[in-house]
Amino acid sequence: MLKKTAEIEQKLRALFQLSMNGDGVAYESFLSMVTALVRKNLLQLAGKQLPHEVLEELQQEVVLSIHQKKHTYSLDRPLLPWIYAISRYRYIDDYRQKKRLPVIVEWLDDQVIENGNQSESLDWDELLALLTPQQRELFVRIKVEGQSYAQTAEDMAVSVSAAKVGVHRIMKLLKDKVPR
Amino acid sequence: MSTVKNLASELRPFKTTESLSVFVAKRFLPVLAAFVVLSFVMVNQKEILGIRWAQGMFLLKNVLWITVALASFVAFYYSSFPQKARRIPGIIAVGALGLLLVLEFFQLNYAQLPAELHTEMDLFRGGCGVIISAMSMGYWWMLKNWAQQGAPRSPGMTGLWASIAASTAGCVLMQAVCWQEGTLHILLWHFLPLSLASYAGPLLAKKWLRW
Repeated sequence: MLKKTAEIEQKLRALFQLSMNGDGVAYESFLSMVTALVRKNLLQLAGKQLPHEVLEELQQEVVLSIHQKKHTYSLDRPLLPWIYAISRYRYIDDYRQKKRLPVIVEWLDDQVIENGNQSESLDWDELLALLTPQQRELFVRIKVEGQSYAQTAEDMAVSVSAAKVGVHRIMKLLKDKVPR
Repeated sequence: MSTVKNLASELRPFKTTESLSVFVAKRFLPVLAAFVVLSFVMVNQKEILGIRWAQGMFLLKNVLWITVALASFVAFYYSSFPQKARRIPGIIAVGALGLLLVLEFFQLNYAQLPAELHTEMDLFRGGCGVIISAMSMGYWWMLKNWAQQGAPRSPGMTGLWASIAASTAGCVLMQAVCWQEGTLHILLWHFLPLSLASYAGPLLAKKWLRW
């Protein structure tokens, strides 16, 4: 196990050092390896109960954070703790954010969408107007018409995981706009 | 996978973070030097300065203030980067600050306290606090901007260390300038801005240092 970790560390460091000189291929390999590691780490942090779309979303956010903050790694330190530190920060940050507004997500999910335009407290058209045409189509197909992710992804020519992440982001956006 | 491809295509050559020694040399020492120079410019009784520097307690307190400023700056540096968590600088900073407080309380003249308090309520005496606050606010803002380039795991703690580093650098400045040596004066007008900054810094940092 330790030997395997040391091998991963060594490989990642080599790829990272090549990336520092602008080697895009090495960086792509680096990020691919990081994505797998982050996924494993997030599952360890959250347990298996983490919904798939949330995991996908979080994983993307961590990889994006690693990309944005790649200059904060110092070469004299091991790389894996740095990756896990960012992953953990993102996970905790996301957890805290959700903890602040958990009820609204449930309410939005279960009541407003099921009741559609019957809700008097929300101007449904106003909320939908906040979305881009593609987001609106995705949202209406999945959350209003109840179409499956696979079918929607096929119809809209996107991957299933992209559709899931997209819906998750839309829910997040709408959640922030709902009056409390 | 398309995200990874897109990110890889955006890649440009980059450098990693500065080492601690470079960070201190570039971002702490010039500020401290500027504060010390400014303090000598502001001193209005330069002839007594030599006598003051010969006093052991004055020297000890200056050393302690500088220790707090430097150690909290190092703690700030460590807290601004994901894998650099180290506790020792923070412990040194808090220890030195605690020692300074103990020294001040030890010298407090409790019999004269009401009279001293009355004197200290004068607005002119509170000038120290205003100068320390003004200096530390400017430096705190600079530290906050540097921390934004990093990736603080705990923005509140980073904000706290930035507040202590900035305020104590301001206190180092006032240590030489201020001729009011009363313990109550130091506790009120030198420690108060530090305490307020230590309260406000983490709150603001939690808002501004999220990434």
